[in-house]
Amino acid sequence: MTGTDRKFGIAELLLVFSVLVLVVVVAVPILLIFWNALVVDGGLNIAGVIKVLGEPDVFQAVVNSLVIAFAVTVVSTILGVFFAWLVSRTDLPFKETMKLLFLVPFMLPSFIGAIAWKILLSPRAGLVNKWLMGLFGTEQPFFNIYSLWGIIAVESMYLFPFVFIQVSGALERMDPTLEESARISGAGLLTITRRITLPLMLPSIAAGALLVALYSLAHFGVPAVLGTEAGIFNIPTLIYQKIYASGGRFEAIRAGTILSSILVMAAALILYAQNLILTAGRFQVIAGKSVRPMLLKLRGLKYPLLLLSVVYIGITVLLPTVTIFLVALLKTYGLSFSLENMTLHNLTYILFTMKLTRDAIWNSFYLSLAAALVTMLVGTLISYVIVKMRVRGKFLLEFLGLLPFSVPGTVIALGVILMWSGQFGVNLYNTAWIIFVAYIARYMAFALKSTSAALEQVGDSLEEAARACGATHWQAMKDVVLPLIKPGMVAAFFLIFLPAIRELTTSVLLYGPTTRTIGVAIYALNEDGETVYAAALSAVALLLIIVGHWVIKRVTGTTKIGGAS
Amino acid sequence: MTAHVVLRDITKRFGQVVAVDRLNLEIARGECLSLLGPSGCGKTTTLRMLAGFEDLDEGEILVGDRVISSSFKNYYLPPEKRDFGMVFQAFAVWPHLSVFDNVAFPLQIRGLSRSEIKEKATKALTYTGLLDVRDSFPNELSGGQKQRIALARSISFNPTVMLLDEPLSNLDPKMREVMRFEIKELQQRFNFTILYVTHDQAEAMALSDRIVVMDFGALIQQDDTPVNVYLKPANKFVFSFIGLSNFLEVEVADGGVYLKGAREAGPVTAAVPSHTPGKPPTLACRPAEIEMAPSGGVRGIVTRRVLLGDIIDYRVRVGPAEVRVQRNVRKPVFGEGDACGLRFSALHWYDESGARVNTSRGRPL
Amino acid sequence: MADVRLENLAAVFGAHRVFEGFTLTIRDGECFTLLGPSGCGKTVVMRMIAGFEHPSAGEVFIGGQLVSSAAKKVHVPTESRNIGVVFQDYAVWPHKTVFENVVYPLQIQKVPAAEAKTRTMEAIAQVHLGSLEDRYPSQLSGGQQQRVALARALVSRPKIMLLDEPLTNLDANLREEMRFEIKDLQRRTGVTILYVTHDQEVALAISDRIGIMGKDGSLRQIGDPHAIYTDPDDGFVFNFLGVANFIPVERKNGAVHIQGSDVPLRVEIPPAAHERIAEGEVVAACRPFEIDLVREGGAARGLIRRRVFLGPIVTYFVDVGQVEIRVQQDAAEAFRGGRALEEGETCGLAFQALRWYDKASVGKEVSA
Repeated sequence: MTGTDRKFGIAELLLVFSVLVLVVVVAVPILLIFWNALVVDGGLNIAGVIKVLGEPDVFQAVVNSLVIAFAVTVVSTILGVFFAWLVSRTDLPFKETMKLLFLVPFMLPSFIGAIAWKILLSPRAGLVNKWLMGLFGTEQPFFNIYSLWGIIAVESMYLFPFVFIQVSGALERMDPTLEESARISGAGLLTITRRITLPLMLPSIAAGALLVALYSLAHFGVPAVLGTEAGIFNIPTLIYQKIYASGGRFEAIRAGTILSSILVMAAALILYAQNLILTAGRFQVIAGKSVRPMLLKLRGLKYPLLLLSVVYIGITVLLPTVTIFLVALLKTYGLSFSLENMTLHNLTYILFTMKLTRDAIWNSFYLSLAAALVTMLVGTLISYVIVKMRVRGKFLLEFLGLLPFSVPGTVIALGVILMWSGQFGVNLYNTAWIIFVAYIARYMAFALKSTSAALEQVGDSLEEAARACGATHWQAMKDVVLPLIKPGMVAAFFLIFLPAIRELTTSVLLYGPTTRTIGVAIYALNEDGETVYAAALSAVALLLIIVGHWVIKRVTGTTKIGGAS
Repeated sequence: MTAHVVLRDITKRFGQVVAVDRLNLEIARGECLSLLGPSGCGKTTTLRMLAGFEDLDEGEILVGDRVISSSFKNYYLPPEKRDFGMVFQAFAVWPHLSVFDNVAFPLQIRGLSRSEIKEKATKALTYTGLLDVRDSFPNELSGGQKQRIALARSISFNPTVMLLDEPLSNLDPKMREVMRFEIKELQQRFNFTILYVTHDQAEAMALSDRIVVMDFGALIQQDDTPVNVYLKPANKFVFSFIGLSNFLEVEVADGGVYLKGAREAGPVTAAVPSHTPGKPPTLACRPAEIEMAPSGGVRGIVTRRVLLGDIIDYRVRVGPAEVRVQRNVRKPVFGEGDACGLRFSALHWYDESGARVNTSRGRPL
Repeated sequence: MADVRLENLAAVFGAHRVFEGFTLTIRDGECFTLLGPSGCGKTVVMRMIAGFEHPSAGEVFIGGQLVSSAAKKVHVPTESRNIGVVFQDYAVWPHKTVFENVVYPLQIQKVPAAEAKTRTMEAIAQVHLGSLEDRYPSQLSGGQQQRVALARALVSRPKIMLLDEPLTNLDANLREEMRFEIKDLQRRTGVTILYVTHDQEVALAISDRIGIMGKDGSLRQIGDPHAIYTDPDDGFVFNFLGVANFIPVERKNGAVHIQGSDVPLRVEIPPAAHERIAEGEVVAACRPFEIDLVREGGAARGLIRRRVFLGPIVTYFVDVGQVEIRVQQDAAEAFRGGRALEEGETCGLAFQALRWYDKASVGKEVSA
């Protein structure tokens, strides 16, 4: 094809390099999972797969995963749509503050929330339970957080922002004349909402809901903290349990890979469904000019609904966060919250003295930093090939790049274990490197998305204009493209650094005695009953995250970075 | 004709800004009235008050003899009860409903029986030429088709009043011409009373029975038929809004009117318009209404010539002034630097406040 | 300053054939417009001259030097061609100030700083952006950004300037102003300009010569704007440059009639056209303003079905037989001069000019 200048085969070279990177880092681990699950002694063994799936604990875990994901999706969707509508389409006071507060769960790791709720609602020692039992003089606890509904409730609290963001964004950008024309046709508000607004919102609602389902299926933290006690496992927690309980035996690994395959297929299905909905394209409802959407006057309901929102935020956001900080300051767990029982000692201890936590903080920092940097740079390069170069075979890159989106952290961890534990000559197991490689695989898709979006903003004509001014291809890159995509690259960096520093799902399967991450340390402390120290490290993590988000906002001007871990 | 729609003393404020300032307007039954003015002059706000999407701060609106909004009586009828048809600039057709369902929507709201809905919707679709595509969805159709859907939807329930808010702005020029005719035909067939808002004077001219030219605050500058607005603009604002203009300063001497500083070029006219001595009015004239000849008339030099297709656009320097002249391409062509003589076939005079003085015909000198 | 010579240029991308055998010479110092509908390939021609695209066949010469040849495996890269380019979306760099945008070509050429600054400020003054050199593009209007692009393209004193629909994204008033500025700039600097557009108004207004491309990528006609507008070679060009009436005719009872009309058409028909009327191969064409409406007589009779007042013009839609003919009248003449006619009136049409083209509307003119 007649096209742009040949850069003496450099384009082809870059393509090959990019493909190689993605294949090694992303594709092979996933392929190994499927291979391990389906192939035994060189032959396809479907019967074995079915046998494993039939085992009671495996079967139950699959069922639990589906039930939890389904329930969480339903609850999150209802919450998300309701609050989005409240905030974007009514005259509720303090809307801007509400919007920010509803987004806070996005920033905070849900497993830390699970720990907080454990502190509050565990059947015997839960603070709220004890308070209520004292109040009403009963022996039976009111709430047992170690249950399916406990898991569902906590996950919903932290996942509903996915739906909220999509729906409130769509509601605010929707062309108001679509509703005005319904009004002038004779329809009242209820009819308009039912026949016009909601149907047009369906793609956004579905997009958010599917994302919730995806995250819930793949989620380790909340079921690990709240479910393991009661013997309730979902797929990621069962995989973890089998691998650690068995000490690496083959059958355990196989069960893990089989379960992982199911996860991957479910995730792929969800993403496919989402893609269908988003590219249906029919519903071009976004207005071009700035819009003033129709607002419903709440009148008598205004203050009750405001109260409801405040109470909701109070219970789901403030209560757990405050609990963590307060418990972090307690001298010993179980003491009442009075000033004489408070101390800063725990914080100083975990920060400066306790080896476990000091190592974890250090590990998380340098691993996340390194992974973010490398992923961002490689991601930028690959994005450039995809977006800007006219070279055959690009589609391969696009496909490989998007693969990790549908692969849960657990699966990546498992795949990385299979690949880098000596089978191919390199053994990284129990070292920091294996976590590093897993992070790159996990977050590559984010880097690609962010940097390719930035690159797409830089129109071809900007580069061509530089060429016409006498600049060579490389000069044009340096003088025009690079400065313009810098914000996108910085965003990509933080998009990886912040989630990586607080994550649990991936590193929990990969850590060794000296390579714990912050997430793993908190989890371990909690498992060991060191609730106060777990709370203290959680408090530190929360502060880190809040400061990190503030830094991002200053640097890039965006606030929407997050997601469950 | 008795007035069908009456806007009485309506005022609308947004914060400190008075968007519509005590507007009085009457539209007769079956009349098509255009509100024409620059962006932000208040014409859209006026339309939206009639529709009910904005409530007026003062004044009242009556349709037929029915009050639909009144600040005196503290009464406000919401849009869904006003029974008007409305067409929006960005079409506002619902993408998730088929063409038929779009058109049938207002009929369903009104609780008509299924057969009645089918009958009326089919009729509306037939009048707008959409019967063949009634099962298609809007995103499969062109801009012009989508606007027809909007039209069909608004006529399906036989309203008496139609509101059109810049309905042709988002269409390409050819489509605009086609839709102008279709709207006109629909109006002639159904005898709607139409309030039409636009910033495009050609559109207003082509469609309206009456044009109201507005300035900021919805202040009416002229309210007249299109031909009168074009041939006898009431003031400078209307003159320059309605078409290309020359505004020339003049001086009066030796019983004639000359372009200022260009007495040696010759008189523009011997008919001196009335004015206070020493303060002659401004001469306004259209580039298309100036004759150019090799000699005779007011003498000038051609400084620029641009071919625009049907028209050649000239700039002619007469003393310190530059006069814009447009001539049909059929007529003899002048080159840049050529001398020429200008004869003004229509002269409009406006005093320093912008008000019209009187027109005089340029007589051959 | 240089001329541009395109010899047998072809753009064939796999199965997609944009154009072949495209030959054109743009003279040194002229303002040449390549005019054609969307998708005809005019932008591809420009991009080949710029060096952004490789021709699949043929050769490109700039100032006598061969810069592109598929057969000879020659391709001088864009940055070495010493050209100025102005893009449709302006392509001014948002992270650089006006000054930094305009000085860039000089920096690349390693022009000493003092001289670069002088020349840059000169270029900025030339496009009337005098005091704005420290502003960023986001602080400028569309028209101002376009002027930055112009200044940047001119500052390195290129041999040729290529402009790709630079005025499309501006509003009507600004377009008029910028048209004039581009023309003015060209006159002052004498640079050769290739202007690419689909807007015939711009083409007619600024060009020394226009080349019209058909949808199939062929060059239909090249010539001076006035001549092309009033007397084009073929029906396609006639239709493309302005509103046109195409009037089908037929032979009836030994005379020529407008299709469906009972009254013979009373005009002089050139013999070459006359022969082909019987075979239905030709069609008459004229512009709406080339027809006068008269009450009595006329070369044809018709019924005024619709009259539209548009301000300076009144347009009539006249039914003659089965044909609808558009007639344009000056509004002042119509209403003040009493020459306006009403809807429903019968009238006569007097043709000031009538051309005859091959019916397919893409053939060559039969005769003037």
